[in-house]
Amino acid sequence: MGTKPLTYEGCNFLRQRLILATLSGKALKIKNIRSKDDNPGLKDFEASVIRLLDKITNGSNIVVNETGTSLLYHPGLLIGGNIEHECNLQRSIGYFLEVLMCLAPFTKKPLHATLTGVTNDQVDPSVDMIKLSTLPVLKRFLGTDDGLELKIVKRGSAPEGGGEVLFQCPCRQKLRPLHFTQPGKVKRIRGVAWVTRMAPATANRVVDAARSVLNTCLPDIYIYTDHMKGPQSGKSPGFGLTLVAETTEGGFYAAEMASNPKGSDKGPTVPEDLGKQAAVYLLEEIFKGGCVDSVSQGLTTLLMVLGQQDVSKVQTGQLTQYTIQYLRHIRDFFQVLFKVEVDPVKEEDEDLKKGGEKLLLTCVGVGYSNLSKKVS
Amino acid sequence: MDEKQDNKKAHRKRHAGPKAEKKKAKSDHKQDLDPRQRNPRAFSIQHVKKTQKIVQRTQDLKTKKQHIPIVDRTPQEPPPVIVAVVGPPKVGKTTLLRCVVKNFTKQRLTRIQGPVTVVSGKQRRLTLIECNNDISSMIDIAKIADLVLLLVDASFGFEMETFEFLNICQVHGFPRIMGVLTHLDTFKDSKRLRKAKKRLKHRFWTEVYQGAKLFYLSGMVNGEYQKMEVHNLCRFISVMKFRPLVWRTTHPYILADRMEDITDPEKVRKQSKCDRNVSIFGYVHGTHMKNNINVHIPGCGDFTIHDMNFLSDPCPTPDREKRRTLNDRERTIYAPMSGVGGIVYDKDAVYIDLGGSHSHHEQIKDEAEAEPINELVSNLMSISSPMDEKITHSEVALYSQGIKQTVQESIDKESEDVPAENGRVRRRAVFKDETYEDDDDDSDNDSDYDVSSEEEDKNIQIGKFKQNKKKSPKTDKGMDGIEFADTDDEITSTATDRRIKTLVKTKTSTGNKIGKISDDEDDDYDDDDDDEEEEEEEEEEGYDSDGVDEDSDISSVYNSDEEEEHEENNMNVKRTFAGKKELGKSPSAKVADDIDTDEEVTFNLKEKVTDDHKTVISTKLKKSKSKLSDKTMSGELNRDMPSKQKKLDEVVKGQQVESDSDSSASENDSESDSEQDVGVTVEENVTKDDKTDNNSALRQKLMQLSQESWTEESRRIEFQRQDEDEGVDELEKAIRGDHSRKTVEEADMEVELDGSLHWKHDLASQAAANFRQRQADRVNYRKLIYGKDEGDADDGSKEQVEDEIGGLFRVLKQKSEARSLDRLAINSTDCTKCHMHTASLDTVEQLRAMIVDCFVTGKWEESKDAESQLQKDDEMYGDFEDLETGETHAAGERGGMKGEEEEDTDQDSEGEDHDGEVNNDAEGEPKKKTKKEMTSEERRADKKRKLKEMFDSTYDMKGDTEFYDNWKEENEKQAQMNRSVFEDMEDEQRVQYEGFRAGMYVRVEIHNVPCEFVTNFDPTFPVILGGLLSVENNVGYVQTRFKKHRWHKRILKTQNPLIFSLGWRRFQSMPLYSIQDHNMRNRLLKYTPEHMHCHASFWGPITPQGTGLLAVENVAQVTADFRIAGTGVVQELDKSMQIVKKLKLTGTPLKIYNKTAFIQGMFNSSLEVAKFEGASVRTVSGIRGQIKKASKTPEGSYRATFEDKILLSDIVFLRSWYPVEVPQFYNPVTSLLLPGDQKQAWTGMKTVGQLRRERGAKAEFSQDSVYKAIERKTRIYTPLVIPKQLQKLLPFKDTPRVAMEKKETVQRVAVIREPHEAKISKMVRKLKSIHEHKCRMEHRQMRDRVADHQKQRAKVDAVRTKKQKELKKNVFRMLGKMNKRNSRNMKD
Repeated sequence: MGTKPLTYEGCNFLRQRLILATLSGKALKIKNIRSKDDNPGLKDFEASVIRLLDKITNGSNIVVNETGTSLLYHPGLLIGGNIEHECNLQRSIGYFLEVLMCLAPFTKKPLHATLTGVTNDQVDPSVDMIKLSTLPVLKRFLGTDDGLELKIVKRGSAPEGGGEVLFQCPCRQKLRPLHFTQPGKVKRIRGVAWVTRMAPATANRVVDAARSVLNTCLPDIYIYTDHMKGPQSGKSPGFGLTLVAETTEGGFYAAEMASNPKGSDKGPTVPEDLGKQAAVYLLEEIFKGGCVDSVSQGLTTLLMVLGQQDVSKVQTGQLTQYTIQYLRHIRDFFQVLFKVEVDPVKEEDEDLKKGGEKLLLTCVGVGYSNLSKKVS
Repeated sequence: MDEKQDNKKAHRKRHAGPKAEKKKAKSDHKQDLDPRQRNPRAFSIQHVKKTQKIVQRTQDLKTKKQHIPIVDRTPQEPPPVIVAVVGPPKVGKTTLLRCVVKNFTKQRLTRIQGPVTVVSGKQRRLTLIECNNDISSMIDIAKIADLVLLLVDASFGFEMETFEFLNICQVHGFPRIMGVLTHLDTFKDSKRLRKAKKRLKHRFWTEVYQGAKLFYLSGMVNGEYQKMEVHNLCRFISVMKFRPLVWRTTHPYILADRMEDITDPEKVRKQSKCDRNVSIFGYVHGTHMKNNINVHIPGCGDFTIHDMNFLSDPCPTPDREKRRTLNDRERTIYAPMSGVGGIVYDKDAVYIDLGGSHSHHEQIKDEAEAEPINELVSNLMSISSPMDEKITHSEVALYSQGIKQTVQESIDKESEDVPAENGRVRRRAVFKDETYEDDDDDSDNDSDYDVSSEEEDKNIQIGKFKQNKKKSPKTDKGMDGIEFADTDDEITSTATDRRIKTLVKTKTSTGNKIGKISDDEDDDYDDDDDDEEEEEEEEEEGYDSDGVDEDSDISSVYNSDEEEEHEENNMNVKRTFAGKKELGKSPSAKVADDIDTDEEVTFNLKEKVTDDHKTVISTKLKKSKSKLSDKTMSGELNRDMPSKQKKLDEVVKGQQVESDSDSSASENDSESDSEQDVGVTVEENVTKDDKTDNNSALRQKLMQLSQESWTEESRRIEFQRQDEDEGVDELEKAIRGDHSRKTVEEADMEVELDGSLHWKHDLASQAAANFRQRQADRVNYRKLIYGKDEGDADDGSKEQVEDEIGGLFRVLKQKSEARSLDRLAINSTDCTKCHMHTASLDTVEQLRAMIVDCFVTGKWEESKDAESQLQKDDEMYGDFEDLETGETHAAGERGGMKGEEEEDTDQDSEGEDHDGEVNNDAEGEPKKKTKKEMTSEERRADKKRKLKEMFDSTYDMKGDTEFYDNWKEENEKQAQMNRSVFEDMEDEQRVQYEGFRAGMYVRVEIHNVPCEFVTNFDPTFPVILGGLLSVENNVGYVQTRFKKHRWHKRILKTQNPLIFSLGWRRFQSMPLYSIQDHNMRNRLLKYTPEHMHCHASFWGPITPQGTGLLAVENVAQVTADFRIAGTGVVQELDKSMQIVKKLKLTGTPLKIYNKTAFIQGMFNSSLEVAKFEGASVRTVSGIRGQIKKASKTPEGSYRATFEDKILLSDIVFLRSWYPVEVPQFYNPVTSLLLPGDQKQAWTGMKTVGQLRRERGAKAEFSQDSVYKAIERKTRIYTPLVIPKQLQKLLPFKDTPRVAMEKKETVQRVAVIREPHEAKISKMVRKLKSIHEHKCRMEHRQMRDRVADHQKQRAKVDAVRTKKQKELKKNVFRMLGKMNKRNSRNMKD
């Protein structure tokens, strides 16, 4: 029973490793975490993730050495239930939410998590983005969306935070295999322009700028403005835009941009620039294409592997570095290789301008089932 | 006559007139109405409840038929069906198995051990396996068997084993079960036979299912069952259908049909108890099996698969040919453990099976018993290198008496064992509902049977002895004309024989055995391999007894596979170099090894053994070697490596002279890998000459070769060949040949030899396959994703060079630029979002141009575009003619005419309905043009189909089955996809994506297996590799719904160890039984309920919920009772468990105020009290209260309030719940590791009761709990005193009686009346006394009067009664007279 732990070096892709270790039940050892850095060891936000993991599992054993440069993790079983977590302000809630989304379907009790911290920043996918693009992917695997909810109670932008998010996810015994190879065409573009602790007019300026770019592509565009007031608006000023393009087959491409945080050396952001840039990012995302966007690729591949012993197939755009690493880790933990091939374009459709190369990811699930949930 | 009739006028019907009209009216055809239409009221719902019931019932029946649809994951070529033959001993399992094998293969197997795989039909193979009478084996077999042949001795009836097995099956998914009744010929009376059959059948049906198939094997003919009966049975087996079982469809498993020890022999020599590396062979069953997963071997433990690869199917299904039956060639059989299976190729070597591979264990014993004289020499032959050990050994050998004694003892022991074995008490399964009419008869039979079997066994044993004795001369004869005086000679002869074999065959081995022997010969000096020689002999024996002529066999084999052998040979040469453990597979190397060992023997002997022994042996060696050389020279294969042979020959000769042993040794060295074999083969004093140099050079080269892609390899080898010396050159040639012929698979294997180069072997092997694809794709994603990072890891392992300064500080060396970048990468930010945006506002126009068609506004694909779809329609239906206007429309105009066309079809249909003429026209016209005809018909068909679909969707498919059908369809689609996605891929690649699919024959390498697994290997016990899913190799708390088996005699106690069978595993653990209260509290139970489910929680392996489990108290003991203690199902898994037991804390009042009391003795500290503040307490008398607060003194006391004042004598209770910990005890049953005879007697942790019973100890108890006679003091109560205040308030009737009495005691006060008052009172008293007197008188008179009256009445009554009596007397006399008279009259 005492198999050797899988050993990795460095803190990069820490979340992936922790997630996979938890799901596969394998022990994990990470060495040389910033061992050459001036400030060695785990950072606060990483410690925070580990603490979050500790909250939703039972019986896991985490050993961090004195300097924090190495970590040994013996996973327990996923419990879920009601949890509250104060996310570290160095990273936004999205960073933590991505961990929860991977684990939530396999908990003992449906997860009901309240996360507080930074909802939007420039580094991680914001809560809006996850809500608009990753949640539909999760829904596909779960089958239905009753009980699946991501609610932004308070918004809090970058340096100070003060936001609050409620994430609810039902747990399942088994996931459904995914077959999603026809992305369809973009039929509408929606978005949220949010402002905290600034003039509400900023949002309108952002929206106008974004529309100016996008209107040439599609007429069906609607961007909501979300101006939170009072205690709901967090502690620091900021604004941003999250755009999502929905295809006829239910695929979502999301892109976003957030203003520079207060006190950053880049200076204040011009709303018009931000709007236009976000729109361009969206077009780029559409260029990449596929059935899931680049942010959700990792989750998609993971949940494909955790399905029954059936073939799952999904079309994606160009893989991100994060996804590639995910695929490698999946092989280490679950011995599953993905068949990655370029989606062949039909001869008659060759002249269509559909953006970049599309990939077909095929894999056979490992026959994973939720071992925590009680059956009677 | 006829003519007359003919002349008659025929009847003519009326066609007009009233009669005709009447008839017409009668025959006027009305529409046929069914009764329902004619009389609708009769069919209306009259009883609502009844109708509802009927409808409900039909629906129920319908739904009952439906199974939950599951995705069909059976592969195209399914694995062999595992057919297990199960039953108690002496029911004829082996005989049946032998008959079945014979039926399928036309071969008679003498001894069957382990699984036998046969081809049973064009589509199906069977793996037949016998289950011995051991509960562990039964459990294991029940987990893997697809079909069970359950043998029952009809003359005896069902035995407990049968029912135990059925219950085991029920828990682990129910495989198909077919009953087989044997020993039916013991019934002499046909009526009793019929009755017995019927009784057994019905009992079997209640256990399995109604109508389960039961076969009757009526009798034996020549020790076999009747051919037709077996044939029928086999036909049933080969058409049996199976339902997928949940556990098996989610877990891969392998039933090992072959096991090889591939440990480095040197390691074994150094430490005989070291962990072994083994390779296990078998078919994958269940689902896909991934490489490097964890497996559980029941009875052994958990292991990680070190390596896994697939081999060619040794027992392939004969496909393609369209014939009904199989021909004899296709009736293959594969059973390596029983020594059948022909030639086997695998990574280690190629094996030619000749005898039973694992049969030697038993035979060793026999051999030793038969020929104890050989002991001495055989011991000498197998002596290990250390001198002192050898001395001891030789001593042992010389003291022959001692040995004899031991032999004697062993024989004695066996003879003692026999009755014990045979005297096995049959465990009849008796049930209340069954009555055995023929009980006594049975017992008679039984005893007879036992005796006879006992005798039989003895006979068999004797026979064995005889056989052994007979065989030994036979083997002697086998050697051409050389007569051997003792076994020593035999040994050498066999050795030579084998050497010859190996040379001629080039593939060496007689099954794995010979492979092993070659090893054995390598480490002849190993201590534990004392009986190697015997083994050899034995094999020889088996070989002979098989009746196969050795040489002819060899030659035939050779001829048939000449080419392959050659190739194989080359491969083997290479392998030996590459550092694998299987040494000496190539003839040259092998010979060298052999020689080496021989040399060793002579060497040793020279040193140690007495002179005459030495001479004998050496002469023998000489002989054998000369013979060998002759043979090899004459052998066909000599042309392969003549020079080598010669050289070796020389070496052999030179060896006797003992002049140039050095060179031979170095030769050996060069041939076998130095890393492993230096210690074995060469003495330390060997000087390294240039040959060893060559060796190292070669090895280096090989390393290089393996690291490069194979295309480069061959070129390089060619190049290098030129500048290498002769010996190396030759070998290289071999390698080259090897390479050029090697399949990709082999390349794979080879590269893997290097261990660390796993990723590269992928690349190398697939380079060719992927080449074209790689050309086509710009990026090879596979390489990008899976190739690169391993390379990085590789780099990582190479680094780390550190310097030390002054032994204290370390200076890290500066890394190269690349390294430091890598360092950055491993510690860079972990983020999902891709921040490398290429687009900007400037390029937005270009970007937009590139994605124009991604929007709905853009151009659509051909298949989706509405316009193109329409065009397609046109092309399909072509031109049409407007029927009304008569104009023809071409396909091109279609676009504009669409609307009209629709109108047209409408009209068309209308025409069909109403107007026959138009219809005719429409049909008539198209006939002129063939195309048109087609289209119109098609159109109609299409229309019809559409209408039908519409109808179906509205009426037929609506409702009940729609959901179910959709679900099924979805699953079918998924199954189809599962099959097709990787179908066109090569197996090597496919295996990486989906794992080794079920039906593949694989070789699994497992490292660090306990040595007992190998040394105590017994093929009759099934070895199963059960694949575990990722989480399943963790342990945790398992909560199960558990029930004591109703046939188990005793209830089970909490925390008593039980042996569970759960998933693949068998393990011992300590369960806690609990039951859930209404408030979800898990309350501990001390014992399992008798007939109820409870929860059993224990520490064990995490297994998916819904998995069945089975508990046994003991696997070692065989009792008459039913052994299965309980069954259950996994409900929940967790890392912590909340089970509580009731705890009552008691205390006594210290001081009592009104309703407040201070309680002491319940807690020890105020901290404890603080935890229980607010808790409710109760006194014995039922007064409830609450804990308030801790008080200072004494420590642990507290203040509590009650609803009433309590007494000082009251005891105060606190009811609380105490969490109980489930003991973390998990002890896997390691029955496979035990030596042969103890395999069935695994004992784990014992219960306390068991221990006490064994040691005769009594349970400890506290004196307090002993029952004593209770002495009770009579209590004297203090009198109740009611306070005066209270008494005053009481109503008079409630005043205490005591008070009244007191009043009387008070003395009266004299009353002095006034004269007037006195007068009055006197008067009153007088009157009163007068009145009293008067009353008294009256009363007396009244009593007198009454008495008088009663007297008078009595008189009157007496008279009256007298009169009445007389009257009655008269009346009865009269009546009597009358009766008499009447009766007399009647008589007259």
